[in-house]
Amino acid sequence: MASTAGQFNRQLRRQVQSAARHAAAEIMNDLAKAGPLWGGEFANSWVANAPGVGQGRQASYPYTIRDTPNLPDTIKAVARNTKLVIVNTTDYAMQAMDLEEGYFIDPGTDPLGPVVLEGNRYGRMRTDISSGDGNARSTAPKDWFVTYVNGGGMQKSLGNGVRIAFAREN
Amino acid sequence: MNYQAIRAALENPLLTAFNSLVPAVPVFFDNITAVPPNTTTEYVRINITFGITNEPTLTSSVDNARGALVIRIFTEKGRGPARNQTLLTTAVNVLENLNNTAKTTAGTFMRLGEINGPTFSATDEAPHFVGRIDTSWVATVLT
Repeated sequence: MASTAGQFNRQLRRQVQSAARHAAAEIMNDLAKAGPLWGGEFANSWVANAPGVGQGRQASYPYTIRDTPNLPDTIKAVARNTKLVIVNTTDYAMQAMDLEEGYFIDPGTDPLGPVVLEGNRYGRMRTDISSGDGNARSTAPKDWFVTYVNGGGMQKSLGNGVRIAFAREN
Repeated sequence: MNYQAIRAALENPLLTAFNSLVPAVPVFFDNITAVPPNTTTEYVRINITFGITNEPTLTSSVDNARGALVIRIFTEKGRGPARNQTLLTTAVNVLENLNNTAKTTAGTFMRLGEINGPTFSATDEAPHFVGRIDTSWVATVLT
């Protein structure tokens, strides 16, 4: 039978792993909300993978902790530096996140999300749209991804994940 | 909070550095749609975004704005990375100088986070080789 201290340690390890999964779900939801939203494919393509453990399941927005892989509560697993890696599985993810130039075409439908830029396209980045009567449209502000990561949004979600995990376990 | 002062604190030293090169390299900031007419001309794009305007603390609300800075260097495709990396170095030197600037009693106090990158890309459709770095920033307007 495990000692009380041993049970306590195991409970703590479970909470740490649970916090990581909650934080991942929060971040995936934030990314889905902050990113471009045309037909919904990009927002519904965020996946959390656990290196050395397994792939997350392909789910859709809104994401929950069930969409993240189960993390073992062994000491080795808890000590792992990278617990979860969040990726977008679309083949145009780099362009959608404003990390690469691309070639953008009007799909001929109206976007599900709000249009934040509209006009004539002048460049190869997603938001290279100037004023004018062109049909080029964009549904997320420029550099939305970098702003989320560097501007405090992701840190807030990490904190929320920890708070949710410890509130639910106690 | 003075957003313009924060923007100026980041943009001015970068603009000065690229203008001081021989020949000067055109720099384009947010909400400027122009790009050089010759598509293979090298140029720099600097974009600043705001994430948080202030941070509440236990005793007061500190006007610490946070955000992201993205610098993209466009150089001619098919000529190797050297020129792009030279221009990236110019930008990184400016950012490191900003981080080494001592805090004063007036003006804008700025600190940058780790610099991510550079990452390079050259897509089939575009005429440029693009080098890109980004970083976080925290700024306090002291006056």
